[in-house]
Amino acid sequence: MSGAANPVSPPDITITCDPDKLAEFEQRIADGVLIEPGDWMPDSYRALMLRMAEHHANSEIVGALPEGEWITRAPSMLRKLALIAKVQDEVGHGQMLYRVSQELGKSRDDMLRDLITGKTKYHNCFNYPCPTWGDIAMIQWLIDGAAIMNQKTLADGAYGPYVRTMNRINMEEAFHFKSGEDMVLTLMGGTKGQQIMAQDAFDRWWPIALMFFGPADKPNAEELPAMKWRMKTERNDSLRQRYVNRFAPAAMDMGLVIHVCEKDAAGLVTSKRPDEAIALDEDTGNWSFTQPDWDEFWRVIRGNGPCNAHRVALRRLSYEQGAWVRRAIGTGAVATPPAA
Amino acid sequence: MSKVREQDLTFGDSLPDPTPDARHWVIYTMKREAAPYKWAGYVDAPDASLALQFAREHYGLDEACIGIIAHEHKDASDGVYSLDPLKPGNAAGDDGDSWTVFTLEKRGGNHQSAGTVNAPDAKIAIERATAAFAGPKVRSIRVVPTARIHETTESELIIWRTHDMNYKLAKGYAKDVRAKWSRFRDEKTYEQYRKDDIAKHF
Amino acid sequence: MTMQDMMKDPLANIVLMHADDKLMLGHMQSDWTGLAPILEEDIAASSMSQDDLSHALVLFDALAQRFGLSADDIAFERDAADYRCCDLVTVPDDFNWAIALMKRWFVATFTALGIDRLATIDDEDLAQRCRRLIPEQAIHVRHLSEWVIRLGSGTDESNRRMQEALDALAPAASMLFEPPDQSIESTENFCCGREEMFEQWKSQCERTLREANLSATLTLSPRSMAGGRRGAHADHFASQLAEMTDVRRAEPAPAW
Repeated sequence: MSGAANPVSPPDITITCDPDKLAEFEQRIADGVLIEPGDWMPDSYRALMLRMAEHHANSEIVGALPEGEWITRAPSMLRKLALIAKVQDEVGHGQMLYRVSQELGKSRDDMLRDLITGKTKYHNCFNYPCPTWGDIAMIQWLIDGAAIMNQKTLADGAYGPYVRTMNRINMEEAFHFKSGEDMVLTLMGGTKGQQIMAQDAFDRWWPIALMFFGPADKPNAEELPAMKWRMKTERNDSLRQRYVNRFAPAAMDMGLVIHVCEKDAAGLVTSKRPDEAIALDEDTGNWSFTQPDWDEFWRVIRGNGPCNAHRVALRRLSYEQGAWVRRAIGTGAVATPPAA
Repeated sequence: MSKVREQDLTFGDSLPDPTPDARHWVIYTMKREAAPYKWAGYVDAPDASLALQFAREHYGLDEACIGIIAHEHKDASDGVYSLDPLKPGNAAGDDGDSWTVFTLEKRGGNHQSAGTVNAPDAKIAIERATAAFAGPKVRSIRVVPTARIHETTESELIIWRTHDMNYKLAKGYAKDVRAKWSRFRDEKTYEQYRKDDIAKHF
Repeated sequence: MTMQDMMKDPLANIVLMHADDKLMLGHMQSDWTGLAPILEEDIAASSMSQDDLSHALVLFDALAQRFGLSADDIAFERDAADYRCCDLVTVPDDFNWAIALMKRWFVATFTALGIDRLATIDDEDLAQRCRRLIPEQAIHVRHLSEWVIRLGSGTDESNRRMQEALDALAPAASMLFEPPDQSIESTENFCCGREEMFEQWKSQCERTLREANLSATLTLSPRSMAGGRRGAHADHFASQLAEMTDVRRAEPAPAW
């Protein structure tokens, strides 16, 4: 579900490679040519692409956890089936993106171990709790909606295998978003209790959705590697604005109120007031809005969010309890397959 | 939350020993009879039988599918990824083993099966495949020894299921979403929003 | 027509027996989504959970039409004693992949035989629905059998874990054949023969177990032994059902 718009702090790019080759490489990217694995690429490009694909893969499999909690409680057969299929898709995306990462030089096992030992990160939005079914509806509508917008821009990127995978993933994300929209509409058109459930969940997820695109880029973002090499193709603020323009009026039309909220350490709302900044600028067509709490964003990304420890612990549980199965089927390097 | 997920999670000091990655497979699926196999994704698996089972339950269920093939990543030889359509050249000959040919029409696009050529090695196979299959759009050629391609052969086993799977497709929600929006938005506003969605956002 | 009418109908009980097995199997297995030992098998197991729940839905839907109910009502709104799932499917797996796998394999093998029989009954709607499930059920049996063999014959460690799971589950497995209804219990006609079906199931299981270097004594439970299929569920079933209906109970609503 998640794009890699999270601020993956870029490694120190000291470009020590053949300047002619680099110039040719950069020209190709500027010309809109895609880079394929056999092509020459600067080592720092490879390292950055690996970091981005690995972070994205981690985000997919950790992203499966918050929603996974609600599979056993889904309130109808169709919602249950859809939620399993949705969470399954995230696992599938993770699996594909780990493969893209493997191709850039790191084994899956190393990536899974680095994830559970905290050496690598995943998207920040999965460190927040899902206390009700309403959260499931909001994640699929607001967060998957944000993810598709982001991933559409990533599919305009320059690295062929990543672009290929992103196109494939986006095909599936459309289902997530539509099913989320359907759930939110159902709740907002339902009983008083369902409407309250939706509003409370919206209060929790609206600021997280705004943070989803990451903090504002540096003023010279276009000259920095991530954009210069078309690993990302749009500024975070620009994506965020497009997102608000689309989702703010839709939410309000459904009867949801956009609030500015205070949250406690568990990620639950303690107080709220309507966001008075919400207004349409008729000239630009842009909606203004109150920025999310960026201090909170940095606090959570450093590991101090409501659910960081639990998410990583569940991944570790999965890794540890499954080790015997992976050992038993082997790698295929020497074994002969058993008769089926 | 389910019991499994809310259990108290405590761990020892060390992780289990690493398990090296299994073999890497490339997966292609066929949507309908006589259509080409198109690239669908990857799986890691120790052998072809398991690779095909994994592929069946993943890529075989992403969209309608009647056939799946898999080969190991290491068995594929890719020719150049050209910026312009490939020139067919005039490589000829029919000696050697069979190679299955996949074509790629644009960078970042998906390989699809085109046919077979015979050749003594990969380099010649790419040359002969280019002569045989380089149409006006083909930018790259991949060849894989046909003997190294594994395919779903259990004809009694279906792939795409026969029960209603609309719950996992966006189109399965279109009608309901439209009906439910009608409570909140007039038809014209909704239609504009829906079209914007497709054009600008999704 | 009401839920009570449905519960008194002998054929409905046979159908519910399979549908409820699949409901609970899919329900419990789907809790693993995102946490299984290998990403690829996580995805595969999740597809099969979706199949199991979809198959349950196909069967609930047939009954819903007959008895003027909704499929969701049948799935979620019965009293615990009206669920016809057997004691085996509700055994908690406690996040032990060997238990989860062995359980799915036992049940899938049984269900394949059961729907084969239902596909030939003198009730065209039900028979036709079941005929469509047969090839999908075959996928499950093949996939799960291959995994039992792989893990049983994998390493010493995996063989031990699979044998332990087998030992733990074999007694409950015999309850797959518990007749779900008194009226069926009193006749020899357990949808084409309880003993015959047991022998088929046993020989199929034993064939796979031999290949897997595993062994078990599989017995047929006494006809009189009442368990889940007749509503005498183990204690854990109540909490499983409560979890499954948690959201619906908290806020009764016409639609979700």
